[in-house]
Amino acid sequence: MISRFLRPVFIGFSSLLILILAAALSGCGNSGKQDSDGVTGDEKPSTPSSVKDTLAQTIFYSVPSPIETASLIQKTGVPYNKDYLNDIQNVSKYTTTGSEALNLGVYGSDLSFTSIYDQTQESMLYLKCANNLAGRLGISNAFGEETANRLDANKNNRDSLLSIISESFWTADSYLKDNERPGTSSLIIAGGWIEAVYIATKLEASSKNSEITTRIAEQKFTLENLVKMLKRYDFDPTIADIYKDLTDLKTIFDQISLVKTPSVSSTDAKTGITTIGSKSKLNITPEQLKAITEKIEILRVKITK
Amino acid sequence: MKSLLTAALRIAFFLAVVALPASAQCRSVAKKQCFPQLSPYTQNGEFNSTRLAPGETAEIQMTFYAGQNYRLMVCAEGVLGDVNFKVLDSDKKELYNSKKADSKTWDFNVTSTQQLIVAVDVPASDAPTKIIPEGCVSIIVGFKKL
Repeated sequence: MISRFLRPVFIGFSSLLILILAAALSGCGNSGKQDSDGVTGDEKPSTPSSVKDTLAQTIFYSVPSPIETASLIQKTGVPYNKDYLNDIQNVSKYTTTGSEALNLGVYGSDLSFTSIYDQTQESMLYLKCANNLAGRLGISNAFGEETANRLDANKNNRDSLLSIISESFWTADSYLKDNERPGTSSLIIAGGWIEAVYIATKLEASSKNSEITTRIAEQKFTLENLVKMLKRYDFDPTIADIYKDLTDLKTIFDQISLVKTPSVSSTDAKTGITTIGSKSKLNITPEQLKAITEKIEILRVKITK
Repeated sequence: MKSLLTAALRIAFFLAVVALPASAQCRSVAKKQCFPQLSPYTQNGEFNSTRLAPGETAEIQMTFYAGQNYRLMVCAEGVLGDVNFKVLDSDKKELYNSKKADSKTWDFNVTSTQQLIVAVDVPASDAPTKIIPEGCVSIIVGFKKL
């Protein structure tokens, strides 16, 4: 199987090569052995044959790393509370590829929050957890010793910390996608998103800060992308399970009304920065916020237990 | 069967030596070509890259939050020529066109959080050849506080 993201260099040759390989290897039988994503070869999505002969359009969905959400939450001025983070002792509980990937996302998100809130010692503990799980997933270079050294050397520079952690997420994501393990990557992303929203709901409950409420409502957009991303790999049982849970959560987010107004762009001649002006507004009710808070807590408990 | 197996081994060698490193190249293209131009923005931790051939397009749906400045850029391997990108809002209204702006990076912010679509297109090739080259295209997003 050659995915859309790993086609051979010359499209014209690929069909022929695959046919010959398949013919030569068919005598060996197909063991249906699971790969590192816990996905059988037979179950992986195949590139439609027409794609190989025609011009293709790739559509994909983006979910930013939790470092961006953590940064936005920190800007609200609501104080940090370590009780909302996943216990570092839990790291040994995660023994399947799926739980390791989800909780790498969870600990990566916790690392993002501890770093943004200048909790250096705790950051190192969460980095160790992330490194432990990343090692088991074969991506130890993402949250490894070099990252620890760089975090330590830059502990007084928040922008550098942001950059180092983002780079770690990027290293993990790029390595997995380049090695045909996008399913594992999507689980890390899902785990990170769930943890970031869980922390946001906890901080909202304790502070009643309206800015955090808005940030939670805005996750309506990101969740839409996340669900579409996971849908591609829902042939994997772990991903199918998390996809179902997030689809249920999405039904609550879908109830948040969006009042849209047309965008108007203007560019600052001095800075060159364009502002996309729009008065679009999300209206979240207390009932919707409560339902999201409850559902995300159930989901977070489920993936971290 | 023996000759078929020999052919298969040769092909497997071809795939291992040519096709797989071509994939790994996407990370390298993003890191070498895009990252240096991203500063002072922090990249958002996501690797959005694919291999495209002339005439092909890719679209990505992304969320951009109010309260941040963003830098959006597209990097591509030289073999693909002049790769362009457009940014559209959820009503498909064009907000940016790299061809018209003559720039492969765009700095912007949004006053309300919203979904935007980044559409990348690789120009069709006029070369009279049956071998269609493919190359890596990476979409990179950086953010910083307003």
